[in-house]
Amino acid sequence: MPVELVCPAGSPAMLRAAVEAGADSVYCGLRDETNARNFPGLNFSPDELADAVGWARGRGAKVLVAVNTFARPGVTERWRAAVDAAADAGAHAVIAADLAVLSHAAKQHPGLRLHLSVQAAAGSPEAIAFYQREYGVKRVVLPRVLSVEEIAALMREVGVETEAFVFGGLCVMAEGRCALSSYVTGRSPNLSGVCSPPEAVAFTEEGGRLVTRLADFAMDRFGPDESAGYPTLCKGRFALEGEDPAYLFEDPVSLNAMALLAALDRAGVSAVKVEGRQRGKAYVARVAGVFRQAIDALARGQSIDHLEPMLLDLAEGGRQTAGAYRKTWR
Amino acid sequence: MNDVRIGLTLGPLMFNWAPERVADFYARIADEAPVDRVYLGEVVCGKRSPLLEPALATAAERLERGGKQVVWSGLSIPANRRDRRAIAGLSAADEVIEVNDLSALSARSGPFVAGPLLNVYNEDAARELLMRGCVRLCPNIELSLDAVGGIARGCPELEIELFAFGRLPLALSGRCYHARVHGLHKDACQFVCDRDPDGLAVQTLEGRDFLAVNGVQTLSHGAHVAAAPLTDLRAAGVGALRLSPHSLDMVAVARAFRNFADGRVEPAALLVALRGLDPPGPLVAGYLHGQAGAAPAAV
Amino acid sequence: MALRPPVEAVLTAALRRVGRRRPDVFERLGEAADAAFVLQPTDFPVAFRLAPVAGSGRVKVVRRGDSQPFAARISGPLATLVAMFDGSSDADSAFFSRRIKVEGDTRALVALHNTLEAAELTVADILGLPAALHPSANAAFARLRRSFLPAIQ
Repeated sequence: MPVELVCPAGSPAMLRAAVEAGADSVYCGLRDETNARNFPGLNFSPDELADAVGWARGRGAKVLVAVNTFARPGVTERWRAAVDAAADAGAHAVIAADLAVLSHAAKQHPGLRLHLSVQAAAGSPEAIAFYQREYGVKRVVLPRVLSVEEIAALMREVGVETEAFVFGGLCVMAEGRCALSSYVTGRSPNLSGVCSPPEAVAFTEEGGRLVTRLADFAMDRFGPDESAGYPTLCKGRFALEGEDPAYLFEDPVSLNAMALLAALDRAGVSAVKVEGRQRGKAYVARVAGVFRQAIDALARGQSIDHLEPMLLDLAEGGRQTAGAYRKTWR
Repeated sequence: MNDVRIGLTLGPLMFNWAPERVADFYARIADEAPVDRVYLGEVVCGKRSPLLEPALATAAERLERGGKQVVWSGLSIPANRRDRRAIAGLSAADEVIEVNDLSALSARSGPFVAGPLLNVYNEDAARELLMRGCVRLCPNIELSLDAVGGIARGCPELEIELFAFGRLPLALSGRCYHARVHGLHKDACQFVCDRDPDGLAVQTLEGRDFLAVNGVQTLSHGAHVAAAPLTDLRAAGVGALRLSPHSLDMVAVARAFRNFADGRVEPAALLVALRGLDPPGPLVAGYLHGQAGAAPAAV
Repeated sequence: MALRPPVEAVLTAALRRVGRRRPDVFERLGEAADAAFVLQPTDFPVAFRLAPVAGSGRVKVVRRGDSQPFAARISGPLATLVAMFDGSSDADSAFFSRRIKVEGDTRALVALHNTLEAAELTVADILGLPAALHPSANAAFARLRRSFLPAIQ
């Protein structure tokens, strides 16, 4: 069976665009702090979710609901309610990371598929075995720290489906193990479902250059002809003592692992995932379309070399990388 | 309730110090530092462990002779078979261990401490671990004192050990930044992280102190201090304060905290005392109050 | 700018029509519902001030570099701005490649972007023209230029 193409949806319109362009599955979240793309104006109301699930089912597509942040003390019922809403909407699966959310889903909705979010950072067979045994997870979204060879080795030791990111924003740090954003802004993926939250971001022109700031810490500076990036902390330009500023952690760059689709398939990965619920219809339509072509071409034994550069303009900084999938990245 | 003594603990050393330095450090802690419990073991990078094992084994004996409880800490981001074996070995121990990655629980039935690098953000998640043998929680550094209190109220059986001093462990990566800075590959890193005993300082492009790099780990530049009134700490269920080892005089740091935890000095005086000990960065405390972690410590 | 008031009236009416027809659209704006946004086409003599977008929505034609306070201002070629409005072009790419410039409150800007993304508006919707007459954004925009440009210059 060809690898499943999982695409992002930040709105019902984006969900339709993804499915129409060739996504097998779409993942989305509710419009609150229970999902890791908690940006203003983004995501689904419970009614929109139910409608979207019905619409997608009619086209043979699955809807996966991300309830993948960590619940706040004293209000954990909000996260349980999000799982209940996903189940009520008839979602194909819930994607979760918090032990509290996993436990609720496993106990209250035993028929609902559970996917382990990348935010759980389960990168070893033992960690995966723990989540499988304790909560019955059916699929693990792999942390973006593993090489293709390591994924292949992992797949020989685990008995679950796996899903690997192949396109979009690239976390340089292990997802779910990064508090850089809250150190500067007070909000982070684990705490609040956002990284480098927009209220802390400022773009200013200084001396003819674009300066990007996060809570008043300068993240980067771009000349007039330089491609710009988001002011995320891991892709800023920083200086070591006495040296010129440089991209210490990672360049402003996006993930594109299209060239590794065949290798991921051979490694036994069940699904490949596109990042970017915050990006919009135009983005998802193009990415889903090109990856659909690539997966179908590979199934027919055809070359996909011509497809890889087609999404370059969507990449942050206008550049793409295969990230940790190639061991040299480390 | 107000009379309950708040304990002091020394967290695992996060930096790559030479074995002799490690031995000397723990010898002095054993003899002089007023701490009740010491966590030993490599939590950041499995490549460092083999070099340190003899020094840590000696340190453990010395610390126990000095009346300290020793708890072995596990790796936080197992990257290969060697790391996995190390975690499995630790999991097989009968005594209490510190877990920093849930892979340690796949084959464990004994008691454990949930380390600050685990994602336990609420009382329900804490209860999931409690059911599986967790005896003590060092909450994730992002959590505010209010949030910690919420966990403690929802899960009163669990002792809370608050991360109270040191650069904040902010992020882990598959990539080694020390190796990258020195133009080396992670697999042939020459252990260059040993050059920076408190991490390698990182500034913004405007020259503002910002972060510190420690191999695959990124820490804050500022040194976090849980300088909240003791009544607030007790109200949040805090039973112990964890001090994270740095190159400054940690015996003096421990004494300053003992004075504070015994109510002999106010939080403001604790900050003054710590500033006098040349901490690795400015004192910060934003996370305690639900603010940006980099917000200055002030009382 | 003798005919500026009629242009403003047409655009304001169109904005309010969208709000009436699709009240859910502007719910996504949340806190940004009362914010002032300025769209400043770099190849156009004037800028458009939307204040507020939702509710009693109002569009004003203002000078480029108008000094009234705004929550956020987006500058770029007219065609790029329009393509971002109807979702036919990826806003982030336009930012990465420096085709557009953004200033002000990034949170309001992100809310506006996500609202428009979800809204599935066409340029015809925005201008209040029958969609059938204007199958593409470019065609609709060509009409906008022809009808309004002489009026506001």
